[in-house]
Amino acid sequence: MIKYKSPFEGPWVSARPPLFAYPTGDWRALRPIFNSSKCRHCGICYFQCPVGAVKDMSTHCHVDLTYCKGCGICAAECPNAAIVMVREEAK
Amino acid sequence: MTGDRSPRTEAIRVLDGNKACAYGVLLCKPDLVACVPITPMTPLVEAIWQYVADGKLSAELVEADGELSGLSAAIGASAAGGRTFVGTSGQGLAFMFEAYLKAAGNRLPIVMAIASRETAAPDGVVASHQDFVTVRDGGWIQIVCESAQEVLDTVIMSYRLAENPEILLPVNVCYDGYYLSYSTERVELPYASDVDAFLQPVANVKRPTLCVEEPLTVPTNTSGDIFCEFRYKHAQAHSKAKGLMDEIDLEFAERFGRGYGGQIEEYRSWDADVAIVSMGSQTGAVREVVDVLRERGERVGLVKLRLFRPFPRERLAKALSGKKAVGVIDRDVCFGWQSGSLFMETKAALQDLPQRIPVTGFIAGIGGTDLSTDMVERAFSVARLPSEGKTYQEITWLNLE
Repeated sequence: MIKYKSPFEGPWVSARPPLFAYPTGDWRALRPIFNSSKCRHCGICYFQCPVGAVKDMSTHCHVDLTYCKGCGICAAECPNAAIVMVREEAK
Repeated sequence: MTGDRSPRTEAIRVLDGNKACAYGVLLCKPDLVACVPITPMTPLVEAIWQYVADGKLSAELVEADGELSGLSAAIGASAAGGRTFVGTSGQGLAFMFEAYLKAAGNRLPIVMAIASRETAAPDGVVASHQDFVTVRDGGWIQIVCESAQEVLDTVIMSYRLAENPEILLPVNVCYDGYYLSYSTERVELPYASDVDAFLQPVANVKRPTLCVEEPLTVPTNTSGDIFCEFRYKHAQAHSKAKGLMDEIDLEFAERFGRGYGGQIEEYRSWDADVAIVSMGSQTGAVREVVDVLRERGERVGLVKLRLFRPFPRERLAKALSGKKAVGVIDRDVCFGWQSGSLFMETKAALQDLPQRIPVTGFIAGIGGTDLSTDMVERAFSVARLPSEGKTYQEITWLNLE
């Protein structure tokens, strides 16, 4: 018995926010690891994340791994080197 | 379909395949028609444009700069909820290919006529099934017609099939270029009100559409399990389309007095020893030869394939069950098998039967050549050989051998 995830017959998706309706996290080869002691809460990772997967800035940065594709932009842009990308199988 | 006039006929006209197709389009009242004229379907475009100029049809006409943008316009209009029609042939279909795949994957109920033609090269603006056979795995439903009347009726049935909420697939109405597109025949025109009633079940059907109030994205960029799910649903819709095609054909026959058998038509084949499988305009020649050979006491028959995609494997296997030998006539080449495509698929369908039935293939009518009754007679005499325990050649090119 097939369990459907989408209510649609074809590749249609609701365009209302949040825009990511389908879990793009399974594309990921590299996972961002956040070091909260180095984080200065500047929010650069939040603004640079192309899919808006960086969600919580109140305490330390938190990424929603359901949608994070592992592009590494957050790690490259972080001025405090608080984020490192680790291979999924090595985490 | 000849014989008595159906009581549900408004008028009888002498029309060629293109004009019959255009009349079917007129009756289905599409919101948008996107066509680039290409031989041998150009008069189809002219006729539809004339209907609009005369005020008989109020459809948006797209004179696209190429077939790719033409079908893309239809994709947009269909995604916005409109009823759309497209026509093309040969290289025009080849030029559409990128959008062709998307129309099916996006599950858009577009109806597209293909006045089927050879694909280049060699360059040849001549009849063949090569164009639609080449894109058979593109995810569309493909229905192949034998007569101008069948073209008209199939256009109407296609919208009923395509727009069914369980199907939501685009449909190709394929008719042989020249032999059907340019040959004039007696055609019965149904009443517009009857066609409205026939299409009523899909008139206000709910399907995902682009609108400002409830914004949707199509197609979404995806991969993995969700991608797999959409492929699976697409394949399921193809499975459902087979039974629905039979039901729609029966209802059409009740309303209009003309039926075509749904997925396949069996002609004098139930008690035949040798049957020939054929699709398209050449089926008329096979029908004639069956009558001639039956006169001579030979137990022969015809199984006409109407639905090429999805392939009617269950009904075809049932129709051919118990035959001593089967021949398949193709107006196309399946490269890699060096046979025709219908041959290859018929052979695969017969694998479902417990009994092994020898199948011979005939490639004929290539390059627009006439597929004559003489050729069909030869095909029957070769197809019979394995049932008599004689040696035989599996594939015969009737024009060359």
